[in-house]
Parts: sequence; structure tokens; C-alpha cells
Amino acid sequence: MSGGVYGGDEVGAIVLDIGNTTVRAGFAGEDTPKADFPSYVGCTTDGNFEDDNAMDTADGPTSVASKRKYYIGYNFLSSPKERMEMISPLKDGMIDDWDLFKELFDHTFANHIRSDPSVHPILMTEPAWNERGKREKLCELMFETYNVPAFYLCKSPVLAGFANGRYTGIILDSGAHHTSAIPIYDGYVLQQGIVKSPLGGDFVTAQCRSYLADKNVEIVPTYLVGSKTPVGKGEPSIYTKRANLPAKITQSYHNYMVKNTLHDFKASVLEVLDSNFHEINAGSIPSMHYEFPDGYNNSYGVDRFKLAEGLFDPSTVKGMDCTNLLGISQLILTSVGICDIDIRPNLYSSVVVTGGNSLLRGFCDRLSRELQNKVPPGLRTKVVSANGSLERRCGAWIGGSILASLGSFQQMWISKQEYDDGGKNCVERKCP
Amino acid sequence: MSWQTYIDSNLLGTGKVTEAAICGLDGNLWAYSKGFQVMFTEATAIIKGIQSDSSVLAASGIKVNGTKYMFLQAIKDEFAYGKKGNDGVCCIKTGQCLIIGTYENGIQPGECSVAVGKVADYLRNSGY
Repeated sequence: MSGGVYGGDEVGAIVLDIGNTTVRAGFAGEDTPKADFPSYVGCTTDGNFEDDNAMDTADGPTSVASKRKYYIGYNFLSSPKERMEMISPLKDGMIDDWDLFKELFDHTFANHIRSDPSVHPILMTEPAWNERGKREKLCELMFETYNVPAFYLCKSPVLAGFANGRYTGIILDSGAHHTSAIPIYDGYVLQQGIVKSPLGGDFVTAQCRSYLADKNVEIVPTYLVGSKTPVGKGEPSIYTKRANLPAKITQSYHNYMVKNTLHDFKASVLEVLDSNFHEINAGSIPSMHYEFPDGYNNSYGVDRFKLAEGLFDPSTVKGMDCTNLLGISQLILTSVGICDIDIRPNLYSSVVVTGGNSLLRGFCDRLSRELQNKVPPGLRTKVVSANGSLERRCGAWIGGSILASLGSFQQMWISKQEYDDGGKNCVERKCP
Repeated sequence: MSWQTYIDSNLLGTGKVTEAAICGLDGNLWAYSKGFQVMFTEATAIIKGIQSDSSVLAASGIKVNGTKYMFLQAIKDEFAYGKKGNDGVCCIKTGQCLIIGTYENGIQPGECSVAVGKVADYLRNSGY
């Protein structure tokens, strides 16, 4: 058994990274994941319900899993289905809905890897704050249900560091759900130094939503639009609704699609200023033109800087009590401040930026500028980040791909034999 | 079986532990590998860190036999891990004692903690 696993560097290992927005999966040693699909799953429940209250009870403990039908992947989710709810298996980055996780896992193997989990060692990523119970449950599931030959759980910030060639440093991961600063030392997370803030991509999206609502712009996602007529800048949109829409489109599906639309708006328009927000600075930069799916279009000038400013300076956020929240550079300073004084210089000299939200234009420039001003004098700071958007979004996956293909990693796997000997608590010992 | 046997055959004998020591929860050494004489103050600091407040270890590191390791993580009443470059230390607490094992020269941290953990499990099950 162990001969098969430890035989060489090339073991056909699968790397699986489940993020808040997408699931990344593929073979170790490759430079990009084979599969990258939304981690939100569309779920319909069979049977006829009189009204929406009946739907609610079906979600309760009485529901039978087999009655549910799941839709996974971009193709299925781009068109609405009757009573399809959008749900995610994750909560706070950790796996919460195990049935859904199994669906995603099965889907990955059936449609993307096209192989059987029992013949591939599996490396999975986990958030740095993952709970012990969940890690053990995952380990148990892998060995008992999927019969994998070997398994390893690695903290995603560590892997993001590897992807950028750093073993020691501070990882700033700005994802959809939150932004976190996590110190790593020689490939291990310094658990006590983790600092998290809820200001991530979803926060910026919410900012955009309320901003557009203030301007009376209704966001019409693509799935509702049948045809549209060009209108002038700032004029109300003229569009016809798509004809064959199913009845009873759920609110969660609509929200999901609106979020996608806003996401595009955010990626096209928003930018972070390289210094603190000032009306005058921002005003001198050309404005940006954007057209929504329903044809409404406008130019965005000063506001496109204002919307992203909250990430770095939460006190500027309107309508929310952000006094207790830390801005991004503050997260890093706080996190480093908790760590051992001997390694602080090393941490400051490699600040690795990863996560989809960090792709906002100007994000890294602003961060390195702020750090230079705030870091104690005499210490050198360096902000490291991958250039490509794929590399930034899939940082943890790429790091996993590197790690799992290393020769020295092959003795780190938990093998099936070790699991049989030591039980599920071996995950706590082998995968710190 | 004497305490020294645990050190010699069950810890160092696995080839996954470089140096090891076992001490009581009062900080007194019960057995140790050659030259690895963990000081009383070092042992009590680790025990206190695991039992109650690991933030002290986090700020000052884990000191063992004069070497300072960066504190990585701890679970209350169970273990504390530390690392120094490629080398590291693994301290696991049982009902009545603390087992300290270090590794170097290409031994993976996971391998060391499994070896130390096995001894800890055995001692725990036999009432120590």
C-alpha cells in the first residue's frame, strides 16, 4: 500500500480548494486548476407544494436528501429554474453543509477529474481557523466514504505563500467573504496571530448595491433581459423582459444573479486611490463608463474611488457602524504585533497578497504605500503578489499543486494505513 | 518499563525524534535523552502555556534546553508545537506528565508529532 503512495514524486494527487466563490480542483503539478466552478449550488426539491411555507418546512430536518436535485456549474446556473434556491456548503469559510459538500465533491470527480477518488491521494485546503471537529469529520469522510489512498489538509494561507515563493511572511487574503491577515513561519500558520475582518468582496458589493439604490438604478441581471434598446447616458433603460421565464424564481437565485452583475460592475469600474480619499485627488482622474445588462449606462467618476475606500479606511463607510473594524493595513500591523518580536522583520519583508478581492485596481499600490508609512522605522516592507488574475484568485490551489508534487511532501500524507492505525485524530498530528 | 525506555526505544528509537524528555506536571524531569536536560523553568513555562494561557508562549516562543523555538499553535490541555527553521519541537501533555520531542535534519513535523503522540496516547491510557 505505502509503496503505491510513496513510490515517487508523481502520484497523481488531486488538489481541491473550496473557496467562498468558486471550487478549484485539478491535478498536482499542473499550473492551473482543471475545474473552476461556483461553489454556490442550485437546489430544487421535488414534489408539489401549495405555497412557499411548504418550501420552508422542506428545508427542515424532515427533508429527505434524495428528493433534492442539485445543479452545479455555470451552465446550469445561468438560466433560472422553478423554485431553485441557491445555497453554499460553506459558512465562515468552513464546510457546514456536508451533504452539499459531498455533491460538490462527487461533481468534481464525475465531471472534471473523470476518475475515482479511491485511486488519487487528495490534498485539500482549509481556512486557518478551521475547527478540530470539522477537520476530523472531513478526514473520516475521505477515508471511510471515498476510500482515498492518502489525504492531507493544508491551511490555504500557507499554500498561497508557497505559490508566491514564500515560506515565512504574512498572508493577506482578501476573498469574497472576509479579509484576513495570517502570519506563517516556515510553512506553518502562527495560530495566535490570525486577524480577520468582514470587509471583503461581498462588503464592496454591498456598498455598490446601496450606492446604486441611492441613485435609483434598478439592477436587472442578464437572465431577465430579453432585448434592449440603446439609451443615452444616464437615461432610464428600455428593455423587454425575457418571455419564457419560469414561474416562482426564488429570491436567493435573483440575489445571486444580481450579485454577479454587481461583481462585473465592481471589476470594471471600481478603483482604489493610492492615498487617502480626497474629493480633489479623485476628481482629477478620468471617469469610467459602464453599461448594465438592461442598457442603462452612465459614467462614474469620484464615486468609483469612494466605494472601495471603505476597505482601507472603514471610518468613511456610510450607514454602517465600522468604528470597530480594521482597515487592511491595520489588519497586517495588528497581526504582526501579536507575533514574536524576532520574526517581525521577516513578516514585514514578505507581505503576500492573494484572494479575488485584491484584484481591485490599485489595491496593492495602496497597501504598500500605507505600510511604508505605518511600519516602524528601520523595517523593510515588501508587498508580493501574483500578476495574473487567475494566479491571484487561485493562489491557494497553485500552492497546493506545488506542494503535492514535491518529493519531500510525499512523507507528509496521512496514508490509509496510518488512518486505520491511528483513527481520525491523526489529522491533528500530521496536518498542523 | 522505566521512563528511560520510553525515551530510548519509543521516541528516539522511531528515528523520527531527535531528542526527547519526559517531565512531571510539576516541572521535574523524569527522563531525558543524552544532553537534553530541559530546565525546570522551561518545563513549567510550557506546562503553564498548554494548561492555561498560550499567549505567553506566543509572545516569547518555546524554550527547550536553551534553544528558542517559534510558537506555532497549541490546543488547550493537549499540545504545543514550535519551529525553528527546519527544526522544531512538539510538546504533548498527558494526565500527569509532559512529553517533549524535537526533530531536525529533514524529519517532517508531522512524523515527529505522530511518534510523540503515540507515546502520549499510551501513557494516557495507562493512567499517566
